[in-house]
Amino acid sequence: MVSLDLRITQTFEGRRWDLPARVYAAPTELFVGKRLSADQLEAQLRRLGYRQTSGATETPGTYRRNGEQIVLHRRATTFWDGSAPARPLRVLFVADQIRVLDTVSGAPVTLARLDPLMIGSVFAAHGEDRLILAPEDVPSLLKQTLLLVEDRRFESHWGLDVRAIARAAWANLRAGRVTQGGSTLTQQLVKSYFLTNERSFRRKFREAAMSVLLEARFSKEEILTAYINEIYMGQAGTRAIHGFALASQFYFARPVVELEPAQLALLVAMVRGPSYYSPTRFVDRVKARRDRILVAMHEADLLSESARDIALATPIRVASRDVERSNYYPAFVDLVRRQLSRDYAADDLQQAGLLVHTTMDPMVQSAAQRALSDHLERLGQADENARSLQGAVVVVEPRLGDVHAVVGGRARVGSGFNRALEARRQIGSLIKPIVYLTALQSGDWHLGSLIEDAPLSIAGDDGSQWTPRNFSDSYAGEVPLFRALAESINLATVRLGLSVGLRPIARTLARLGGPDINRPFPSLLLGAVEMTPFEVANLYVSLASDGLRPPLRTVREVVSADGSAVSRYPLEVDSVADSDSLYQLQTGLLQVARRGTGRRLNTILGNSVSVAGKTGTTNDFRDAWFAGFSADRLAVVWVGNDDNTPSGLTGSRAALPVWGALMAAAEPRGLQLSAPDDSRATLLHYASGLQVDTACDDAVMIGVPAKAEIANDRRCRRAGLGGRALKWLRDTF
Amino acid sequence: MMRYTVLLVTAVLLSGCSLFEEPTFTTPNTPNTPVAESSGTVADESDVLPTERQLPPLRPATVTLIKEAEAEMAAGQPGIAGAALENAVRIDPDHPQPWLALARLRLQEGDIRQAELLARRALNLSPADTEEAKAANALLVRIQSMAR
Repeated sequence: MVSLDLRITQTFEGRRWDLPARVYAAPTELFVGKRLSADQLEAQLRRLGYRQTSGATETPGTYRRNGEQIVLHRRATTFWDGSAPARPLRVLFVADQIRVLDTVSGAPVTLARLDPLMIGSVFAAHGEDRLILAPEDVPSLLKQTLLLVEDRRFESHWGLDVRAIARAAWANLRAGRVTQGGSTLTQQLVKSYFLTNERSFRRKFREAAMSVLLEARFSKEEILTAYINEIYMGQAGTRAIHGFALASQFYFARPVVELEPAQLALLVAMVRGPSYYSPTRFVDRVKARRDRILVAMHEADLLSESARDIALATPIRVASRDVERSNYYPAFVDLVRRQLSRDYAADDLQQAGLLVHTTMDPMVQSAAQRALSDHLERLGQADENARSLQGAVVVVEPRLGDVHAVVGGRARVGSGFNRALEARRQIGSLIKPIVYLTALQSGDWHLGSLIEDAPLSIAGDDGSQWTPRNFSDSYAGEVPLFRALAESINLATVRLGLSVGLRPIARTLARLGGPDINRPFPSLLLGAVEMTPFEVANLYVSLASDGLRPPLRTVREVVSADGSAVSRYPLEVDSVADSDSLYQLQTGLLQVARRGTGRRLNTILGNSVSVAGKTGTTNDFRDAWFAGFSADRLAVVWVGNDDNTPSGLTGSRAALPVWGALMAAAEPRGLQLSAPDDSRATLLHYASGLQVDTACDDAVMIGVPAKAEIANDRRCRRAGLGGRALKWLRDTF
Repeated sequence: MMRYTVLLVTAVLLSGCSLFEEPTFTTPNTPNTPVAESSGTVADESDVLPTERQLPPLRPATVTLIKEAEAEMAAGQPGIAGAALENAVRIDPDHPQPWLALARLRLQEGDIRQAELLARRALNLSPADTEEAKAANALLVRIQSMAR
């Protein structure tokens, strides 16, 4: 008996503190001038479980939309650096921008932060996930309904309800088998703690003894609150949903205080068996039970007649699986967990109730997942061999280093192998910008310099021969560097790289955030180096920068259960390269998207948005990559087979459309490159690399050193009226 | 053409006023290539054109956040001040002012290395001869004198 007492007391007290860390997306900030459409805000409000109303938005968690105007009643939230009280806000949009932000009475609001979206939790391996309600946060209607249905004499019994047991025993005796239970809430709680479904008298006796002990040690309110937080409410994959607060989020995507009577009764109906009374699989069964509960609530004066009738008329409706499941982002949370595990012990993450505020942008995350899944489905429909294709996407804000999205595979739901972090694959031509940057930094080359594009063969240390080839198997002779980069010409790049030197290139790679390569081989020049999509994103943030780059950041701050900041991960920058070489390289990468291997982007994004990037395809089409950036977003897409078999697809066909679709959905701000002091932008002829004037056909704007001397092209074909008309036709059709 | 001549002369004069010999600390955008309006090719290339860049006005939210950060700093709350400024950077990332304010905060916190890098970022974002460029240069001078 003493050991039972010790066991139940320890379990109860320990359990009350066993809170998985909760992970949140970056909160949506509203301010005048923000690029956000009414549709995007509405989608975000839906993710947050705000209810649309047609009348006044008097309660937190509601909104009303009228064309380009949204009136919402923001929920109260406490952040570590200040609190956001519940208040109504009016947002007026013009041309996909916030034009007016004020209170409903018309007082302007400069900046408003919405409650952040919960995107996951760090629960222990056995998979129990829960949200905790403090006693004062439990709605009284929930308490009363629960007691009404599960344990009418809870307030008066001492752990066991002899009358209920007798009634159940009589019913079971008549049926000849166990059909009813006479368990009190306390007994159910004890049973839940020790997780066994064994039906024996010995276990029953132990359970009864522990219940009595629990009642003797703790108050009724403590026991009821523990029950509300403990009870099992359903299963989603490996994740076990525990407690009413999480169940409310899981089934209705909203906090428990905002539940309507019909929803509350549904949750109480499910307590007896979340799978037997599953609101998705056995709708009729659970509706019958819910309706009996609603009637009982009315009889017990918990519900008025009209409220009962409204509730009875409400169909069984749970948040669409899309809402709930898409609100859980396992690939991103996986990254958060990895980063936190450097600074925190597993126990702290799984038990201490920490709140983790991340950089994730739900809008971008959804767009990235959709772009990948949709494109791979399309490829699979067109070609049977493409059905097994997998992919990964990483999206970051390049100036702040905030990671906005991590997509670990094509499946829209579920977790598993996180390719964004774990698929270490050859990067192919994604290496080329490093080769060109090293050449520019040497001072011996600029983007208008010519390099020979012709076959060569290199003898390795072991006597073997390396004979790289061009993708098209044709060789252009002399080409300007920017064109070799735009069209990703292998032999021109190899010759350039050999001339610059493998060691300097390996040093640049490491300095920009790539791997350290001690003994670089010539095949490095064509990307025979393995990296994960996340590592590529880290490398490309350097390429997108002015030489000062932020480290990638996933967690902004960790807040303790009492609301104080435990640790912050502030914005920092590192100096990785000179701004002139980077500027020049970026003007070259613009040409990849404009007329090189990435030119399909012109049709996806339109000519109005300038982006820079690079395609990558590895040997025998095993890996397809696209990495690129606009002013405000940088994304890396990888597509390939998990078993590293060839997919037969290029970066341009398999990865670039995903990149283009996600960028188009995220409405990127185009690049506006401005030359640092030691650089200038100049018009060069695309084929010859010679300097031309504006009237010349086939001219591209390229960044070169301010002091570079480039010969003028005297032979350039003037774009006369006929030429211009032709060009117009070409550009238009 | 007249416009570009004027700009060119201005730019030459301004470069003489530069506080620094160090090239990375001087300001961007010397307009020395003619701008053509007629050709479609060139219009497509406007994203790399060396035009005289002008700073857009700061958004009201950014102004508020910078003020809030100053108040928090005065109240001895550098963590909250830093969070406000990071938010300002997030709202107006292409504007030098929030970066400059963050650089000043890091300096006050004693992080000279970050202060210098953030001030350089602010300078990179400031067109020539703007108040922002001068302020960033002045801060860099101060940081370098402290580093010595």
